[in-house]
Amino acid sequence: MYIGRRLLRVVLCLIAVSMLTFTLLQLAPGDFASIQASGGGTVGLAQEATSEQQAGLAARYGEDIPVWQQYLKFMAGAVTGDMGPSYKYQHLDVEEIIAGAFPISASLAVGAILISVLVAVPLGILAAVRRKSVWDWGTMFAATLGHGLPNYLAGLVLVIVFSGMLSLLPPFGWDGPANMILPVLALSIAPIGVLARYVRNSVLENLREEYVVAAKSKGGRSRTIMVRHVLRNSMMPLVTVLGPMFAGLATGTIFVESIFGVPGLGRYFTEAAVGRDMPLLMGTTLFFAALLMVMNLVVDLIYALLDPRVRADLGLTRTGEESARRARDAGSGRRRPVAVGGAS
Amino acid sequence: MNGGITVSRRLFLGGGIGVTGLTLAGCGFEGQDEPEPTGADGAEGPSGTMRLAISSGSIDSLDPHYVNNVMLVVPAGLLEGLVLSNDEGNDVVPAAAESWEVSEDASTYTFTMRAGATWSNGDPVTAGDAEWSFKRLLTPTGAGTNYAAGASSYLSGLGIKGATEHLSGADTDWANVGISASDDATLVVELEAPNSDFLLLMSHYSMVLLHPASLEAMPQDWMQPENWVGNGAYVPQTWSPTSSLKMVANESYWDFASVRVATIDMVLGMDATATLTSFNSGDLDIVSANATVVQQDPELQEKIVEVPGYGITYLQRMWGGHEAINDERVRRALSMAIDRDALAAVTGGSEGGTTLIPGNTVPGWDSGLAVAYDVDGALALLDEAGFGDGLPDARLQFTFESPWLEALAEQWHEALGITLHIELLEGGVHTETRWAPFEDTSLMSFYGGTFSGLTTMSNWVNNIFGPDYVRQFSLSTEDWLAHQVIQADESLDGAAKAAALEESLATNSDPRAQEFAELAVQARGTVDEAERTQTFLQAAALREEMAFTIPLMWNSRLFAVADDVEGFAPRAAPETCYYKYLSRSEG
Repeated sequence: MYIGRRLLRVVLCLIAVSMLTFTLLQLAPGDFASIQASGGGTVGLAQEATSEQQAGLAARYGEDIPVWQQYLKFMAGAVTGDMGPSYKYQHLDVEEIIAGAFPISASLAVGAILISVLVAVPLGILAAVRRKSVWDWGTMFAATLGHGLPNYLAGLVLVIVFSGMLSLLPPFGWDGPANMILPVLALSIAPIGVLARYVRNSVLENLREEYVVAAKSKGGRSRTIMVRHVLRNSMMPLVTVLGPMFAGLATGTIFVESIFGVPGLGRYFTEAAVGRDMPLLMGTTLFFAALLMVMNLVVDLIYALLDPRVRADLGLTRTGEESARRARDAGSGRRRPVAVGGAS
Repeated sequence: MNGGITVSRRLFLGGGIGVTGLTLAGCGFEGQDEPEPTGADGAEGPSGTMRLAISSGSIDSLDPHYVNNVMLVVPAGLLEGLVLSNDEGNDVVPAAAESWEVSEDASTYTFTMRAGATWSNGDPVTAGDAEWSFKRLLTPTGAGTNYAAGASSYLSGLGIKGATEHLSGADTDWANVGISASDDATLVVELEAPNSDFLLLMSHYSMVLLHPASLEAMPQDWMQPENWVGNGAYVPQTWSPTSSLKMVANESYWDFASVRVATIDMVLGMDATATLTSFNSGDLDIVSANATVVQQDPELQEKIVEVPGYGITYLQRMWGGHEAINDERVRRALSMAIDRDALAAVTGGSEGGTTLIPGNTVPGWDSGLAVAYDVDGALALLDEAGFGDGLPDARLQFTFESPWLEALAEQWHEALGITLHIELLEGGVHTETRWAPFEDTSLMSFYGGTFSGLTTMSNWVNNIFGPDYVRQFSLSTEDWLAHQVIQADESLDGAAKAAALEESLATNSDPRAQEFAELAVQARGTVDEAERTQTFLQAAALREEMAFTIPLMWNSRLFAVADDVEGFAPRAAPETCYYKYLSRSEG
């Protein structure tokens, strides 16, 4: 029921996003043909086009029908997975562009998230357990610096060092896994900063919890308490951050794509906006919006899966009758469900 | 606490490996180079890869009838027209046509197609293919293309009989257009009048040949690398419109023996700093260079090749605004108060552009056309025009930051005491507003722009800032609005609209603009070279005198070229060079 409600909300939000995007596109000055003419250095189609040319172009770009019909036509295409060809990349349908470019952007995002987690978690823990030490200050200073460093700048520095000076890695292109290393590193620097601070604060918060004090008073070893209890609970909030972070990285890598020559979705999106490529802009905007919403939904569900308190808040816990039935089932020898305490 | 799940090490490792596998699987790498081609007789063929980064934008399409960065690559190696330009850009050499004959009255060209030349799928390249390609270009609705009108707008300079009428829709019968294939080997092109630039203009990127069967069978997908059928020295291997285009030597090309480089890798949209770093580290062989960066890097300067006269930066008077701008003396005074050499110096990669024809490269240019930097003369003109006490302020809309903008504002402020308000507009806003009358009547309004084209007098008089352009900008605001009403009138068919628009221009434009238009057409049809040049200069002088468009700079293109690159003979043309001539020095 909960999932159904959330999915319904996603659908309604997507409709709202599509209407807003379409309306803004209609209101935006300039259209595809005239911008192309301007960029192409011609005297100008808009001024010189004959009625035959204008009619032909209008028909080709779907502008020979009322605006509301254009919207409905596009949305019908979006639902059926046939959004038609991009104005700008005339040999490609919008869904082809998304299907081809998104996995590339997503692969960079996944790589960046993995690197970020692997680096940020130890750093955050170190800063928390060595609070107010040089480790804490140093780590947090670096994290703040990384957070504030634009990935554009980070990318250039990486190119200069690893390609220009050391000649270790290819500076551009998309020919093999080696081409992924520098863009992934460039993308992961800011998330490392964000996650490290997040982990530090979360660990510190858990260290102050009563269950830690109780465990210590019972004679529990510090290392055990830290690993089994504090860390496990501290990692929970990370889930909340990682979902939207993935969506953000997978959709917002335009500068990194430009520096490293990566054929990802970010550049298509930007060029669609600049060139008023209606189908591509609509398609990518809807896709990005859907991705963000789905990632948020996934995060909520994972969170509920991990934390029974959240499950209870969301109304996903079993009723008393169900629990009783399951207890009877267990007593009658049926297989007991796998239920293991996460955070205790 | 119950109800959670345990993430075991096995699950963690398995999940990690799974995510990594999926990530790599989804990457869609563009693959490694294929084996290098060999000659038909098994002799050693082209070898190696050459990497170029000469476009900061994407290559949206490989359709030569589509105005975009396609012009950078298609004529350079993917498709070939009847002729190619020579290295200097002032004459042609045979290509898809191996020879041609010109009639005595110089108005009919009979091309003989190259015997044995084939498309990359083995089909012969025929005169019928050429006619089909030109017909597609001249079809008003841009059938088969998304955007034919842009590329075909260059065609008026060719002066092909009936072409303009067909393109405008005024005459829909293709038989009335002077292009016909009399047999597979012979293409006849009839001109309305002799045109000495005709052959050179035939080397324009829009005049390359297309493979009709592919386009008809795959209207949308024909330009995908796997479907590509071309007649150029290279065929596309992989193409990501925003990041790269890899081309490999075409073994079916008629001049395959001359091709030395096996793979041309065109990197697209790369950041300027990353481009330069990659060039310096040897990963790129030929790159576009930024003039400011070059000025600051003595080592780089040694590797720079400059192509002068590639284009022009200009100011265009807008309709509307303060009425002072409608006084020719005011426009000329503003033009005379510009120190163009200073603008070029701060911008880099250009020189002072004293006329609307790039005089540093166009043969026949005469310094008598040049606008002199003369502040005293400008003030005298303003005094004569009744603005001795001062001019109203001005505004200038442009689309990106450039040093010349502020420099121009300073110059006008110092010389004439006016303030130039600079407005940098987003591309769409600029496009929508530049031809609309400017509403604020307290300011004189301009927009800035650039144009580039083949370096012939005819091109810079007939095509660029040509007759219709000049006549339109000489219209009063009211007449321009009326002209636009005709343009938007859907009740008029092609012929009627063309006639009504011509009537509007002929009646309402400045008489000298009309005279300019007539002289431009007359010059194009003049056979005697000296007389033709003189007539062109006469027309150009009128255009400069009216000063609706004010020249600022003649722009160059700068390329950084690796030491071992040979055969790079750049011209002032969009494609810069032909890839078939590129090679690497041994050792």
